[in-house]
Amino acid sequence: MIALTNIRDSIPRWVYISFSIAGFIIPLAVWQIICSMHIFSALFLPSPERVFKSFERWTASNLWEDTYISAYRVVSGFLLAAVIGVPIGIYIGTFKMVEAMLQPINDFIRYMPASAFIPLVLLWIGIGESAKISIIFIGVFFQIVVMVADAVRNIPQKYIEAAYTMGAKKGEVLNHVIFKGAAPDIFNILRVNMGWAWTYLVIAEMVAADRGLGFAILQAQRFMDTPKIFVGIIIIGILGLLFDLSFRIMHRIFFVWSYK
Amino acid sequence: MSAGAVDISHIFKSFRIKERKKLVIRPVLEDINLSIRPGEKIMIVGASGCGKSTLLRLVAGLEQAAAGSISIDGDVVNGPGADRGVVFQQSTLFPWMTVWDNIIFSRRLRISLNSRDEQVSRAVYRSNALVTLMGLERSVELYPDQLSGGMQQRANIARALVSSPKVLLMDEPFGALDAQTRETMHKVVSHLFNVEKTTVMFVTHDVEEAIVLGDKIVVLSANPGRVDSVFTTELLKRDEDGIVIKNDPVFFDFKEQILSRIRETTTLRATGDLLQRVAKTLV
Ligand SMILES: Nc1ncnc2c1ncn2[C@@H]1O[C@H](COP(=O)(O)OP(=O)(O)OP(=O)(O)O)[C@@H](O)[C@H]1O
Ligand SMILES: [Mg+2]
Repeated sequence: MIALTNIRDSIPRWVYISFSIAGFIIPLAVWQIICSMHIFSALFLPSPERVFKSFERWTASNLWEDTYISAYRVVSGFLLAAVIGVPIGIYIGTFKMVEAMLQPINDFIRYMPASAFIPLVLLWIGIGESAKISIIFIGVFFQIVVMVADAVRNIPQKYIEAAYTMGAKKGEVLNHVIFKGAAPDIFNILRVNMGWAWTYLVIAEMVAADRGLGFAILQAQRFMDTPKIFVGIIIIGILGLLFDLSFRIMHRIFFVWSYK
Repeated sequence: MSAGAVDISHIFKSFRIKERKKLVIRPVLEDINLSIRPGEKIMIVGASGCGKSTLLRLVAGLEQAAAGSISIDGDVVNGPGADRGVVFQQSTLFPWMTVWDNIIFSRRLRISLNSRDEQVSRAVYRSNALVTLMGLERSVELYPDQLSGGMQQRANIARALVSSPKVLLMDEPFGALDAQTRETMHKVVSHLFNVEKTTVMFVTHDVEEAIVLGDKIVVLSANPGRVDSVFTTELLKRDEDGIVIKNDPVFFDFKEQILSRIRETTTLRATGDLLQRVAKTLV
């Protein structure tokens, strides 16, 4: 008998995978059962079968194009936020002066809803691709900054002191200790924010889009095409999951040392 | 680098601490004077909290004194630097580097290991020598978390010595190790101290450790910390390897002298207060 419920104990890999699959199959089965009982109208809750049909129809038209353009927007907005946000976060977490100057304003903006920026983005940036990318950028940038700053602050002081006693200069401490030490956490922060970036897609594609998964969902809403809304949501979920998975795999490859 | 004369002169140090929501200044070290000859191995003992670590951190340049000065071969200390290697009680090996990369870290900062000049081969040669001396040959490719506590401290010592510091500062380096491992470390380190001519300042609360490893033993008094007394281990009996023989009446007597100084300099009044307070809370 395998013990499965010991606190934090690892379980065999096949058991783990079986449970992961069950976590998807069970809701699917429940969904199917509810539909076959005909409690709700198909308008509210379409059956899995109808959703799949809708998926096929969408594939035949322009699903891949929509997916591609959406992924492009999400990845661009995310990358831009990461490239600018990570260094700023590192500086905030390292230098009190930078913290004093940037942390309060960052926290201030962080709590504003990204969707509220849509009118401003339209006004300042217009209706092109950059407008959609900007919304995603706004959605994750400020989060990346705070989270990276926190990760950097968590580097134990003893490592910084040790580096100084070995003759390291300020820049070298920043490079070899603060950045290297926080790198696994920073990478995880990016993974989480990549996920959040996907959640801003629908909002971003409210901005004068004519393609994209988020746009398609909004469009389907207008025509009460519930199955297509389901397809759109599920595809966004799957893409998010795939990105998450690849981040996790890369983490294991890059930061072997952080796994005991 | 050779030499390594440490001159500690009129050092005062206090900390600002919060006591019942009020900031108070608590003097920790008061008028510390020590003059250490190049190559000398100085052990610092004293009651817990008397300021031993603080003194070492001052020499390392990790703290600043309120008054007084510390100099190494005449150069005044004003910040940490590679001329003083430090080993702390807790390992400070970087978990993100292998043991080898940790050991060669300070050298890699100053010389590009890809170049082919003499400096590089000397750095690698010295790192290898220290790895062998510390018995780390089979651990160099591992990450620090994969090492036992004793092995980690060996690696910390090797890392601190790789840039040939003038002074090696050790703050209870074996404090977290079990008795057996500590015994082994004493052998390793006394051998090390024989071959490395660097000056050593070594903090410990283990008087036997101090006697076995040191040339001189400095007892610090507590509240505030002052130099109470200095003992030399010159007159103790040693075996042919130069290691102090513990099973000897002279040794026992010597140890008892040091212990009684530590006891005497621990403020008994403070202890009495504490006992009273504890008694009150228990009633
Ligand atoms: N950063 C600090 N801020 C405030 N007080 C401090 C600080 N560092 C040390 N102290 C205080 O200074 C005193 C001496 O501390 P120190 O760590 O030097 O003692 P120690 O002799 O090394 O003690 P131990 O044997 O327990 O390691 C203690 O009372 C401690 O509380
Ligand atoms: Mg201490």
